[in-house]
Amino acid sequence: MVKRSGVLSEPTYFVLAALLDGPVHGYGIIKRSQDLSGGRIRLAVGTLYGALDRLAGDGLIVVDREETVQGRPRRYYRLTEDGRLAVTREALRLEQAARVVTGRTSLATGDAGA
Amino acid sequence: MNKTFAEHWYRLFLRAFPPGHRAEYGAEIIGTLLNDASRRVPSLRETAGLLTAGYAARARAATGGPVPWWADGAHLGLLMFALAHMAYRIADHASPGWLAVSALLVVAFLRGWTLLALPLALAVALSTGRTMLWGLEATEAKFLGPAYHDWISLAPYGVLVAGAVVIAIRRPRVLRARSWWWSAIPVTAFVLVHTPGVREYGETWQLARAGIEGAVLLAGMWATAVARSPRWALAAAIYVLPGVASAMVNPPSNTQDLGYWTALAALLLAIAATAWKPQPMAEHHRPR
Repeated sequence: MVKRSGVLSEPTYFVLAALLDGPVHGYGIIKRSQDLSGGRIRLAVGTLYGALDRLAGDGLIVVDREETVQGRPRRYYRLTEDGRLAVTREALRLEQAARVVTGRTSLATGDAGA
Repeated sequence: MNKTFAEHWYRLFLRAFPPGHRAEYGAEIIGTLLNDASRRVPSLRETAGLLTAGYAARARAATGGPVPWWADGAHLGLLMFALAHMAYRIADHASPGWLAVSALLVVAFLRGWTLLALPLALAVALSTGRTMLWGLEATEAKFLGPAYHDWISLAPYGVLVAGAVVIAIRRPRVLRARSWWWSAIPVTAFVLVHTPGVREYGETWQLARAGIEGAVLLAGMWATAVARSPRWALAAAIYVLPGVASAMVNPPSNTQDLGYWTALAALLLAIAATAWKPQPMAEHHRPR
């Protein structure tokens, strides 16, 4: 049947990374994930809330608190332990993958090889 | 244009999401969309985001219900066939009584009324196969709609009856009701048939048919990519395979028809391949 590769998608990774320093609301997650990714991840609002719903369903984030701003609800989301573990595991996987390239002597010395 | 217009605009497209998602996140989504003070006019990018995320949420919600994937997929495939059958009967200018039977079959599948769908599916199949079952004299009963003259052309009707039996005897028998938007297909057929200059089964008709089928199958492929459930592949197989079998036994006489069946078969394969493709974590809940 359907297989799970155990890899986070890039937008999901940056959404979780945006919550590493503490609870953030939806608009803040969009801005922070954009900053953290160097402008590469620009989440549409509808896409963000679809992702938040799935991440909450998977137990990776929870609602920390809710407040009302200009008559509209604003919820702050925070990472759960599982969420922190998932984003950390993904960071280590990416780091290991990066080392395959950056750790090569030829790259460090600028030697293109034969 | 002002923020009020933008809010109305976004609320309109928020309807792309299923009701449960709107209740949970709707107000917050609108608040976040209007958070940027510089954004006075609705953004096309955000509007497209609402549409695509809403459709994706609906696809995921479809996998969260109590109906198993195979029953839900079979139900959808049978509904698609009932809709196509009705569209053809409209083009055939079938008798009002027979059109009513076809319409009732569509409604029975739309609402998930399996016990009503079963006798209607049986009636439609027996009527269409009456020449093969009871001889040429049976063809004379014109009020029963067209009768086919070879078994392979009747294959979709065999699948219709078999599917209707399976979903009717399954326990629990409950199926989810489907959107009334599906009835836009027979309505389109009716409009086309009564549009001056459009010939039944002519070029415009065939283009519209291929366009609608292609759009529905592509939507099924996207839903599969999002929710990773094989239900849309099963629905597409129920709709496409009997027709492909017929085209293989009686090869199309022109390249246009050959291209049409090849495209439908390719879309079916693409949906099936998508259902079995691995996906990133936290992008889905377990396949259902």
